[in-house]
Amino acid sequence: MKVQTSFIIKEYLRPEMLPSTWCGGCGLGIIMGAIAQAVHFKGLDKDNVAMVSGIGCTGRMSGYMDFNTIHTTHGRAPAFATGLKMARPEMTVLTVMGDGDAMSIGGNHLIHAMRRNIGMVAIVVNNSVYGLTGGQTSPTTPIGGHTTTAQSGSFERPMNLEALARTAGAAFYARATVNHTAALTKLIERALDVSGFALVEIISNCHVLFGKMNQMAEASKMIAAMDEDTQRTNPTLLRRADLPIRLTSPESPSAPVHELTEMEDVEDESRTWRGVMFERKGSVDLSKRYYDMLGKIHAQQRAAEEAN
Amino acid sequence: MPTPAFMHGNQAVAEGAIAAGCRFYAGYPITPSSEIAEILSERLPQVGGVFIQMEDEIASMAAIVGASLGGMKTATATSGPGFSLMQENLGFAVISEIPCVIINVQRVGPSTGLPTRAAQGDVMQARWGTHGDHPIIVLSPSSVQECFDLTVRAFNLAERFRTPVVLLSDAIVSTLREKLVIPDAADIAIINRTQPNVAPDDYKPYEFLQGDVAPLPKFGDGYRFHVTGLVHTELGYPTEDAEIISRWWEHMSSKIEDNLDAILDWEEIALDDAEVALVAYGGTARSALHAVSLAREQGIKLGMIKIRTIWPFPEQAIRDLAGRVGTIIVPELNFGQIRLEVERIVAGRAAVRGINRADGIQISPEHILDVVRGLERVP
Repeated sequence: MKVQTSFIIKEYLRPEMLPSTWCGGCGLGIIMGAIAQAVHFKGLDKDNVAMVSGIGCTGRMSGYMDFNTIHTTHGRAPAFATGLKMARPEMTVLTVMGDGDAMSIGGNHLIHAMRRNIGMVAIVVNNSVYGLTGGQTSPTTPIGGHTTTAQSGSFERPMNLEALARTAGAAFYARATVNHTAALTKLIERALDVSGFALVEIISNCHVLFGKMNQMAEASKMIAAMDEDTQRTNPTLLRRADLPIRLTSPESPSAPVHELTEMEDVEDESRTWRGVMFERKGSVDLSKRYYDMLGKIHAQQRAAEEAN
Repeated sequence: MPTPAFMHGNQAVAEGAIAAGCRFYAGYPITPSSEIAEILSERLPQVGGVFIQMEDEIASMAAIVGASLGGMKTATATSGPGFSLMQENLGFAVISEIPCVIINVQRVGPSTGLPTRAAQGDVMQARWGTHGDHPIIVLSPSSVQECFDLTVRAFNLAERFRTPVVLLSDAIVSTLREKLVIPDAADIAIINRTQPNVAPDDYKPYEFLQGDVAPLPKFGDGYRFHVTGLVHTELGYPTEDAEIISRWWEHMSSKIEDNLDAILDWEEIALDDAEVALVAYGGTARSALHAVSLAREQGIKLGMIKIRTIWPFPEQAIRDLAGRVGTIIVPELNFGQIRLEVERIVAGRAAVRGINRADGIQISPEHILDVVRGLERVP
């Protein structure tokens, strides 16, 4: 199911802010459309939706969308969003970040937002590069990937955000790509149902910078490659968040988590999984727990007043 | 009935915040400010408010801006190292014109410095700590009573002028205990941000008003506006148009500069016949006040100005003072941050000298008196 693009633009975008600053063929437009569709299909009232973004190409999204929007400082979006959600727990909060924003400069805020399990949908757009500043190495640049600050290829190990989210205590984690758009919208909708911190990592393309430096200068080819590089999770094999995980093993200290745990049925270890990676059952949003606690305190206060 | 109470300065700040209508606090523990968080962690839930301990001071500052957009009066408290971390999002609150209060209980710096010792070394940081030109309001209390009163005032000014307000406390007033009188709630003047009376389509969240600010609805009220750290139009959208930017600067500057009468706050003490005047603020004003009474007992014509609003600086009061006394002495627990400001304004019309230390020991009244006596021996 997909609604018309013209409807999305009219209902969910701010015409005075368009055209966007994004390059032609950038996955961010697809992602923005998917977010609008997910919000539409969930029947959410725009007045009750906030979008909080950080800095970078992805950070610009909050300016384009017709919600209550904050374009914050670099990496701090989860902290601004935490304050907003605690003040207005009834509001749907979408926190939109890039990979450098979320995992590098904002890593600490992301970890603690996940630990608190504060109710928000965190969209992490992962294009493996700092785009707005001109193509520098990001925390998810793959080993060997060429960037303007790793001209001979990056030699640092990329961040495993899924393992981090699992350990920190996120309620939900899904991975999508800008190639598989129906699934992308569906996964954002799933995340909107979660009480607590729901993270959707979206693999996107920066063909203009990362692609050009890595023999993938065409958006279409880069997006098409996402089909070969990823595979869909089998829902019956959905890994449970409460299973113990070993982050490293003596044999292979750098192996990704899924090779070490319950994923013996991996078909092709070189391919990245997309779909729901984990969902913690019985998760309750921190802001709901806080206001429930306030309710109890007030009941006690009233009881004490009546006793007097 | 006004209630007499006995409190330390941090407690008076916490109670002042509650009285002012603060309903959201985000902070990170740091000496000597932690009692403010500890007290508010108990007090805020009692009044239906939110207390949250964040992962660091960067996040604390971010959270109070986010919650303020959610319609709450918000605050954080910290000390030097945390105040340094807050500068980034303090700048965001300035440019996005979001009301909030930042309490900085000063200790000796730089860096970890002397964590439990008083200083006044953050005066210029409070003015210019975040990058770029910007308006700011900074208040400094010198007693437990002023900790309460100026905290209320900080929230009122933040709401009135849609700006972050810094309460520059210090380890002297934060830890000392003394009597204060808490007024009846009905007698405490409270200012709340104004609400729009136009339809959402006609609302300009950043209207470039001369000497005034646009109303600020809370998120969820149907206005769906954009908030950004980029320089923006009256609608809040990014712009690089120099003509618009100059109008924006005029608005940002005039909302403070056109309202100095409402913002400035100082007290003149024993100045009528004074030949020498002290200019003091914060914890050091206590020693200065005592020095004035000691001097008067000895027939020395010493007066003082106690500054409660440090930024914007009470320039006219200092300019007038320069015409009335021969010498102005500025005691402060730093190496002359306010003295330089006084020298600039006095411009040679009176002698200006400082009494300065930043070794964790406060300036004693006797020390000030010695300096004043030393002046008299100079022909």
